[in-house]
Amino acid sequence: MIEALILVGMFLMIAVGLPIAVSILGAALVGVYLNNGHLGFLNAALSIYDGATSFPLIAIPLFILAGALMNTGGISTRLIAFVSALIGFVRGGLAMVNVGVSMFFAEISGSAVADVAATGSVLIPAMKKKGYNPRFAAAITSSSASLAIIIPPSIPMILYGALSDTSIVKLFVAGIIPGVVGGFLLMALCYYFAVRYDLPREDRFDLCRLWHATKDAAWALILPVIILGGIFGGIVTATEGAGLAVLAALVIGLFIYRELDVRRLYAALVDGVLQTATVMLLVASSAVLGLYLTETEVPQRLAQGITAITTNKLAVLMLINVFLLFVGMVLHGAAAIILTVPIFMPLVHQLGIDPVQFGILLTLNIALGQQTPPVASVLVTACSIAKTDVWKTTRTNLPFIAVLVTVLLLVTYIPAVPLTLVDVFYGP
Amino acid sequence: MRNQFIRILDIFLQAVTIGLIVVLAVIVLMGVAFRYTGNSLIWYDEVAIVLLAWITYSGAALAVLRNAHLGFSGLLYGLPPKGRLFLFVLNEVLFITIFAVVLWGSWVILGIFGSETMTTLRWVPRWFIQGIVPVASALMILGRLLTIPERLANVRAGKDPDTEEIEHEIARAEAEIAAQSGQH
Repeated sequence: MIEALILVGMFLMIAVGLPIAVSILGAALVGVYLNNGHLGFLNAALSIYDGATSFPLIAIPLFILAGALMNTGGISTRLIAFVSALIGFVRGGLAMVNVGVSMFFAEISGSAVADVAATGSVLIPAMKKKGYNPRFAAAITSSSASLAIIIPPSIPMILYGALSDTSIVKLFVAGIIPGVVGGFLLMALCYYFAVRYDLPREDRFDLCRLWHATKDAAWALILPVIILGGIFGGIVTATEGAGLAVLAALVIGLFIYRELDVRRLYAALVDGVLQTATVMLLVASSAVLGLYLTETEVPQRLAQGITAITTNKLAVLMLINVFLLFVGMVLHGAAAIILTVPIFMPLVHQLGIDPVQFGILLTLNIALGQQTPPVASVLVTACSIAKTDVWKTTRTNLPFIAVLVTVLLLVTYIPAVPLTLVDVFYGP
Repeated sequence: MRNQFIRILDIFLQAVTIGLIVVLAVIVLMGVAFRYTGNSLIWYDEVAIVLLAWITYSGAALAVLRNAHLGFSGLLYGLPPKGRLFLFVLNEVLFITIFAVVLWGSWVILGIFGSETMTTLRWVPRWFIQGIVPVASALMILGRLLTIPERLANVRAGKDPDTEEIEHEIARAEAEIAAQSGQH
């Protein structure tokens, strides 16, 4: 009973506008005090430090840093030129370019908001100029940027992997097939709309232009391959791969493209630091909540309660999906992962659900959460670039959201979709 | 006077956090390089996670000054002015109480470590490493108090910080494009 009151208190603090990390910390402090008096505070002070010292999480600041370097290093414009030359000649070309760019960008993406700002502010105005409906432009930019978070490397996957002791490398591999399937479904939908509404093509296909664009973007294209190859091949850990990504982005920005100046680099660094710290403070405060939850065995009791009603994996996963959909409407992605993973993991293990499959399911729910207002950071960013209304754009966005839901259902009901590649690479 | 102090604190925290992140990147790369030349650095993991904790707390203090911590402001900004003001005061009291407790707890445990040191670097005492928590807690309380006037003005005017963040990101991206098209 008290446990429930404490969790409700935490959500109330979040609802009245206290930062989420601070709300978690406040609720956890009350809990440990009720259990152990002021000694609980000392224990909490130890946990809040230990919570921030997880080796796999070092990948987060490093990938954010690499993403910031690449965003300011002239990579986004080259990628857009390359993808335009590759698929721009199809009817509705710019919409497809948008999906393609998001998928390439995924490989260097840190913050979805920063990425949608980087690609969207080039592509959305271009689409408007060609006569696309601004709401359509905002919707496709936003949905494809969110789909991109299940293509490696992915910050939500790193968070989930560290919190649940799941192999981050396997999560990365598992995201590839659902990500590519989702990308092609989005492109197919764009083509359907393009035919139906007679959307324009870009320039005709020109092998010479494609060659030049490929040459120009070569470094941007080869790097993720080398870094991910190193991680997947077991040559470096995910964290070390992130370190290599930073080095590579720095070398390309400074010496090859030479568009990275010190002032812009510094601004990118400050933004990266802030993103890291806000996510990491959430992780650290959730360690204190974890201390309290472990003492009171709330997650175990929840797992028992649910398995008493049903032990059908699919039914439980569906319940979790619905729950996460609501959580995603009101919480930012990182916060949603940090709050739900410690609570759901005992249930996942008890039912014999593969934690890698569950990680992809969770990440897809985060992607959906970025598209469902009122709290939908990526959609809101795309809408403010396109100068469209968030709710009206959501209506246009529904078919694209349906694609994300389709991929989610595939991952939920057909474990082979995320897990086949993992089995091929690392054995069952 | 207050603005100048905020600026100095902001620049100081920026310098510390960015310095730490650069050192972290260098150490991770050194770790890989040394492992592949057959001389693994024994202190690599332990130092790297200490750096992550320090980045977390110095960055969190900076994020308090910038009002950048993740939160949900929909309800607060949906209320009439009086309700907004009430929740504003409530939030300040909760924030400062919570970090005062963390400050006290983390300060007391420093004394308990006594002469403990890091496992791989015996000359670095534990109290120094974990001292970042009370220091950062104090800075977060200070930062929260220092920025009350700006945040209060935003709450009075009904100006949502999420909107500001998005405007900031777009402005930055547009500046990037302008800078790049200038170069070509």
